[in-house]
Amino acid sequence: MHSTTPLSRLRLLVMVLLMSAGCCTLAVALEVGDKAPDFTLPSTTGEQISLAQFHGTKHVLLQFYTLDFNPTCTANLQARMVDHQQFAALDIAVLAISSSNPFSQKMFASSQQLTYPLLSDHPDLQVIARYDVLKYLGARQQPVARGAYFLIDKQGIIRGKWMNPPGEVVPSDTFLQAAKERLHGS
Amino acid sequence: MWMPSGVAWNVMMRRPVSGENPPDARWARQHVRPPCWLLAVLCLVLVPLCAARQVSCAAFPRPVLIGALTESWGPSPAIVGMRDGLVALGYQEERDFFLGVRFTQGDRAALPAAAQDLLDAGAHLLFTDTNSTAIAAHQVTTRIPIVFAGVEDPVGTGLVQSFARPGGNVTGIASLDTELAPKRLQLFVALLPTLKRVLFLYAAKDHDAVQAAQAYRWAARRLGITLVEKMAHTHADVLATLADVRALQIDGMVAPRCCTLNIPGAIVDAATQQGVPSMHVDRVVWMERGALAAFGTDHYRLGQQAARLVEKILRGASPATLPVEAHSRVEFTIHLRRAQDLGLTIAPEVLYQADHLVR
Repeated sequence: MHSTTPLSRLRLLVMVLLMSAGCCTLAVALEVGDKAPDFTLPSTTGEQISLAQFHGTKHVLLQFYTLDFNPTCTANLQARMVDHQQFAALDIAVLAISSSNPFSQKMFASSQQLTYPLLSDHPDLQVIARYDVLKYLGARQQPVARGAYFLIDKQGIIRGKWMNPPGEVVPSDTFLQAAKERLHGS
Repeated sequence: MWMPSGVAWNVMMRRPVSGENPPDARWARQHVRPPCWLLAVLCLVLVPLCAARQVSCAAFPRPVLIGALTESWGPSPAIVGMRDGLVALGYQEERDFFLGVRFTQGDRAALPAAAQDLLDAGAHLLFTDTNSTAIAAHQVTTRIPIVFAGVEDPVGTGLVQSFARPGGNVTGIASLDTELAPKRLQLFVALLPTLKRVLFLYAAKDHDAVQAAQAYRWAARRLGITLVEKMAHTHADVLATLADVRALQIDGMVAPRCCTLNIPGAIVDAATQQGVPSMHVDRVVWMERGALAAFGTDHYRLGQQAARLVEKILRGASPATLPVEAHSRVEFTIHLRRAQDLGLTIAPEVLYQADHLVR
């Protein structure tokens, strides 16, 4: 019978540590003060939109939503649209990301007459995973985004992070007040 | 399917036949057949068989973009039924097809522009859930296939040349909801023997509702009740009419089938707030919101039936030659708790007629 030598045990330990490190780098929870991961995604405007294009020009309120036509998600998207002018007054661009395919998402946005772009992370959901808001829904374990918000300043730094409680509509005042305090110092 | 005999199988698998010496090179040259030819034959037979069982969208690129047009506030029961029907036929959403739902929230005038949105976004096939959405889709394209569910008179509205041979880019499943208007009113009277004045509120531009009004008018005369017809041009008209139904001495309300100006929604809200019974066409949505009863087509099943036509088109059939089908299943639903809230006692012979009793 082959006996394990100290050297082989050491090799095994190193392999386990490396594998653990590899797994950990996939989805590290982002916190306030971290640099927001950049992305480039197709949008309902017909153009690719990247986070980097706002560097130096606008802050960004990045909202992740779960499903088109979900009542809570729809209400939250509508709330941001209603207050769109207030966000614009604070130099904040509003973007929303979900796992919906671009065709379905564009029709949803047109029907709602949304005034800001929806971005599609279909089919790989890499951005959703990088922002650590991936969850699995229902019996089919459909991968979708958890409802979440990130307030990102013009340097690409996360200045606010909120997780949307299930079934709740988050008022825009939450983000507007935070933006005034953290981005404009008032 | 041909399979080799036991001896031949042993030979090909290079096993010695019972009683023989273990194989050597000379034995192998004499008895063993290289399996390559058999693999080729199996491939020729098996691959087409396997491919036939898989979903094929040979006539369209994958994923197929299916654009659904509705006057509602989101995916209607017919659209959900069509989606579920395709899934049941083996199509996987997000892999084989993308479903984009373009809705207009009760705004009939916005339907043609909404249909154009779907075409501009690249829809390969359009699906519609009412007469008005089918007409709007047909206005913007005579080339892209259109499958309708729930059109009352596809020949009369010019969508198809005939049921047997539609002749253009449109086909679908016809419903009978307008034809059933007299029976619907009769069942309402059976539920409420004291019913004397029934309100029928509908949108002036709702062609189906205008047709239904004629049928209700005739039925009301036969049943000896008074039909109070009110035509609305705006949602404000709807709310004004329903503000105080009791003041109009109304005993009950019949809702139109579809959602122009959100009339069915406004009726069910007024019915629950003012304690007035309401009868609807489709039981889905309205029963859970407080309608007393519904009699008509199950539009979810209508959509499921339409999925078979969609699938045939995806496989290469032309809408011009796909006969329009009729949906003959009609359901009567009674909300028992709503009846109890209204203080109604429903006769057993009426209860026995119901297909669904909601509690």
